[in-house]
Amino acid sequence: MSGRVTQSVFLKGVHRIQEEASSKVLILGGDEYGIRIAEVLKNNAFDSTVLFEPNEKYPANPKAEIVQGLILNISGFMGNFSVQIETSSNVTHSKFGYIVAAQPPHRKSKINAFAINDSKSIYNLSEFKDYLKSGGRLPERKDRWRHIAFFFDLKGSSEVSQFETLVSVLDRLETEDRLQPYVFTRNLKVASPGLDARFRYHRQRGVVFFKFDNGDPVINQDENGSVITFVEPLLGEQMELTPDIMVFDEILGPTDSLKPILNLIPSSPAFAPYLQPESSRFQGVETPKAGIYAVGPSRGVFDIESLNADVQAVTVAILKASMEKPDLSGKGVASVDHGKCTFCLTCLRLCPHGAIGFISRPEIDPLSCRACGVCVVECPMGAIEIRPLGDFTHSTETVSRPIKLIVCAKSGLQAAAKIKAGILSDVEIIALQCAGNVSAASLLEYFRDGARGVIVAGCFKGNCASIYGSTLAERRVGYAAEILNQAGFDPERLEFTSVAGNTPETVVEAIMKLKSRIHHY
Amino acid sequence: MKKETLIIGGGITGLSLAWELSCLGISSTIVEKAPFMGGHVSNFACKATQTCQKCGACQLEDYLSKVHKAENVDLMVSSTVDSLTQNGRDFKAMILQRKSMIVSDKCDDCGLCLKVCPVEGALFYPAFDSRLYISNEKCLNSIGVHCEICAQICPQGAVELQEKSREVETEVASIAICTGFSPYDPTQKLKFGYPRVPGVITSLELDSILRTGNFQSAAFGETPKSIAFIQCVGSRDPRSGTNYCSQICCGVSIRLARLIKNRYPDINLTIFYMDIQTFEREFDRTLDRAQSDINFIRAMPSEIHSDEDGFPRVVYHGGDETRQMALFDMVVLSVGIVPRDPDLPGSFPGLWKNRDGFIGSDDNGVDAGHPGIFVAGAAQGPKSISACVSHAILAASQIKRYLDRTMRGE
Repeated sequence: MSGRVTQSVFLKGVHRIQEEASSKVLILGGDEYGIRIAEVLKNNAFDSTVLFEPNEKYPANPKAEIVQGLILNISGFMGNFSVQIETSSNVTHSKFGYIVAAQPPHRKSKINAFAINDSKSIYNLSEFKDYLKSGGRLPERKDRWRHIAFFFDLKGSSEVSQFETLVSVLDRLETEDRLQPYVFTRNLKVASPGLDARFRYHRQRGVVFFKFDNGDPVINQDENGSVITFVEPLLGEQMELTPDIMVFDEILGPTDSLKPILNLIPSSPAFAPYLQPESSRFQGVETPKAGIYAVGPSRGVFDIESLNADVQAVTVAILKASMEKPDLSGKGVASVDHGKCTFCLTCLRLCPHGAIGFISRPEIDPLSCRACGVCVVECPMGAIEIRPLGDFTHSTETVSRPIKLIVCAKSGLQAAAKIKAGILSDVEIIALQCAGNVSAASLLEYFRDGARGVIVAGCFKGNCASIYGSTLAERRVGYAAEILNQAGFDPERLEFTSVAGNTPETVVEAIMKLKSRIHHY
Repeated sequence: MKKETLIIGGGITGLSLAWELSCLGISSTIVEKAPFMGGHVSNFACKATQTCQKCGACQLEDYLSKVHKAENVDLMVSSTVDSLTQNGRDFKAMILQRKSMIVSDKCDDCGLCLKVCPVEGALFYPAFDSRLYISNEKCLNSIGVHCEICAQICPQGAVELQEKSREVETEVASIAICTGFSPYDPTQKLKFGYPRVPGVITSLELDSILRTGNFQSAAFGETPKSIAFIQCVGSRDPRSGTNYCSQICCGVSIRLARLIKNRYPDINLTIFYMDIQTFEREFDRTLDRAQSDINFIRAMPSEIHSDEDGFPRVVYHGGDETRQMALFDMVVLSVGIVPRDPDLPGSFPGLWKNRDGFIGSDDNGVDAGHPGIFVAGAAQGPKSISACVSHAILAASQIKRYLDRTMRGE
C-alpha cells in the first residue's frame, strides 16, 4: 500500500464512535439562505455556524455565527464530523454533528457560447438584474427607440428560476420610455405559479418573443456595436437587429466547493457534481450519507419556492436524525469480524453510504449503515456480517418451496405483496434491505439446497437507495449463471429482474417464465 | 383517539405528511374518501425503461408501507369529514366511515358476488390492485337501500356489509388539507373531440392503460401504430380559466412517450407543444434523447376530428402559418391540473383561494390563513409527485412549529 493512498484513506475515515455526539450544525453557504437555515435551526434548539467562502460578501448584521474561510478537509460521521477550516488568520479544527450544503449556485455565463466578446453593453442576466437594482440606468438615445435583446434557453436549457428573473427584469423596465425589449428563446420556462400570466402580460404590452426551433440567431460585433442576424421563426424572413444592450441567461449548477463533501461518499461519482442522487429514494434534502444534507443548488433546485421549502426541510431532517438511536445490538446493521479482516479497505471504498471509517481498523458507523450489504458481499475475506431484520426471517413453512424469489424490501417486497397467493404457492420470498446483499455464492447455495429456480428482483437502475446495489446484484446473478452453465445446468433457472413497488406484473412474468422452463425438466 | 393532526386526503401528499409527522413524534389521522389510500398516483404506471425515469410513482408504495407500520398514524378509508368545528384552539371533527368491505384475506376471487350484484361498478377491481373493493358511491347500502345479495352468496364469508356509516368523533389540534387536484375536463374543449372521436384519450387514461398492461387489453383492440400527444390541454389557457402552467405535463408526456418507445419501438410518436418545461437535471441530455426518436411539433392544434375510417385527425398550423393535417391511431390529451374543492365542512375565517383557484397559502407556502389549518400538495397548486412530497415535508415542519407554540401557550 503506497503512503499517499494510505494517508487519504486514513483522513477520510477518522471517527470515534465512543465520543459524545455533537449536535452543532455546519452550514456551508454564502447568501441569505445559509443564515435563514441557521435561524430556523436555532428556533429548534440547534446551534450552527455558517461558513462563507473568502470571496463572498460578509453580511452587515449577521443573525448567525459566521466564519469566513475554506474547508480543507472533512471526515467522520453524523454526530462526529471533524472539519478543518482555513480562515484568513489560521487553520481551525472543529467538531460538528451535521453538515448542510447550502451554497449559492455556480453560474456559468453563456456569452462565450455565442462567440462574442464581453463588452460594456453585454450583461449576464444576474449581473443585469443587480445593475438595475442598484439604480443602474439604460443608455439614453434622443434620436430613436432603444432596443434591448434578451437571450434565454438558447445554447443550453434554462431553469424556471432564470425565466422568473427575466420577467422581473421586464417588470422593472416597464416604466422606461421608448424602450423595445426582444426575447430570443427556444422554450419559455413558465412552470411556476403565476409566471405564465406575467409572461403573457409582457407579450401583450409589446415585448417581442422569437422562439427558435433550430437556427439560433447569430451575433456579429464590430466597432459600432453588435448586430443580431436571424430568420424570424414564424415568417421565415431574414432579419437584423442592432441592440443597445444584450442580456444573456446563465447555466446554473452546483458549486465546486461541494468536493470535500462528495469525497466523503464513495458512491458520489454516480451523482457528482450534485450532492444528492436524482432519485425519489432521497426525499427533501437527504443524501446517501447520514448527517449530510443538500439544499437548493447542491441538489439541482434553483427556484425560490423550492429553496424556501429546503430551508425548512433541513430542520425536519436534522430533528429526525437526532431522534434516531444507534442500534448497538447489531441487528440490521453490518459489523466487522476483526479476526478475519486483513485491512484491504474494500468495504471503505465501496460503501455507498460512506458508513465505514478507519482508525486502527475498519469500523461501521451504526447510524450511517443502511444494511444494504454491499460490503458484506464484496469483502474478500467474508469478514463482514449483517443479520437480517426481524420481518424478513425465513419461515419453516416456505423453506421447502422450489422457487426462491429474492427481493429488495424497497421494491420487490412491495410488488410481491400485490401478487395473488396462487401464483406464489411454490415460491419462497426472501427479503433483503437491498439486492446489493445478494452474492453469487448464496445463489448457488440455494440450488445446492434444492431450489429449482431463483429470481432476484432488485430496483431499476437509478432507483436503488444504495446507488449501485441492484447493479452489483445483476452482475453477481450473471456470474452465478455462468457457473451454473459451466457445471452443465440451465443458466436460465437464475434470473435478475428490475422491479418497482408498483410493477408486480414484472415479477409475475419472471415467475411464470421460470415455472414454464422448470416444467420441461 | 385524540390525534394531533387531521389529514384530509390519503394521496401521496397526505401519506408522506403523515410519515414525516410520525418521524417528528406527531400523531395523525388520515381521512380518505376512496376505499383505498393512494389517490391519483395509484393509477400511474412505473415509467422505467431499462432505467428509472424518476417519475416518482413508486414512492406511493414506499410511503404506504411506511405509514402502515407507523404506530401513531390512523388510516381511515371510505371516510369523509362530516362536520368540523372550532373548539378553543382545537378542532372537533365528525368523521363518517362506511365499513362495508371485502376482507381480502378471505376472498378467493371466485367472482360470484360480481355476477349477482345488481349495480354495475358497485364491486370493482381498481386498475392497480388485484383485490376487490366495494364502491362507496355505487353500493346500494351506501345510499340507504338495504341489499345483501353479495354477502349471502359469498362462500368465503368475505363480504362485510354495514348499512349505516360509523360516526367517529375526534378532537385534533391541527388540520392539513391534502385533497389534491382534479384533472382538467377535456370535454370542455369540444374542438378536441373528447370523448366523441374514437382514439382520443387523456394522459391519465394512457397512464392507467400502461399501468395495468397493454393496449390490446384496453378498449382499443389493437396496439396503435402512431400516437400524438397534445400538450397544454387546459393549461396556460386563460379562456379555459387556467391562466397557469400545470408544471407536470411535459414530464408526464415525455416519460410516457419514452416508456411506449421502449415497449413498442415501432410506434411513431409526435408531441405537439408550446414550450417544453425543464423537469429534471441535465435537461439537455433528456431533451436530445427524446428528440432523437419522438417528433416534436411546436403548435397548438386547432381541431381533432374523426377521418372516414374513424381515426383521429389533428388539424394544426405549422410554423409557416399553413394549415396542416396529420392522422394518428391515438391522440393523447395531456390534461392539466385544476383546483378541486376540498369540501371542508364548516367555515373558518381566513381561508382563501389564490388567483388560480387553489387553496391559498401565505409566504411560507403551507399556512392556509386560519390558525391550525394547513394546506399541502396539489391542493395548493400544480405539483409533481416529488414536489408534493417536498411540500409535505415543509408542511410537517410548520405543523410542528405551530404545535410547539400552542403547547407553550403562545
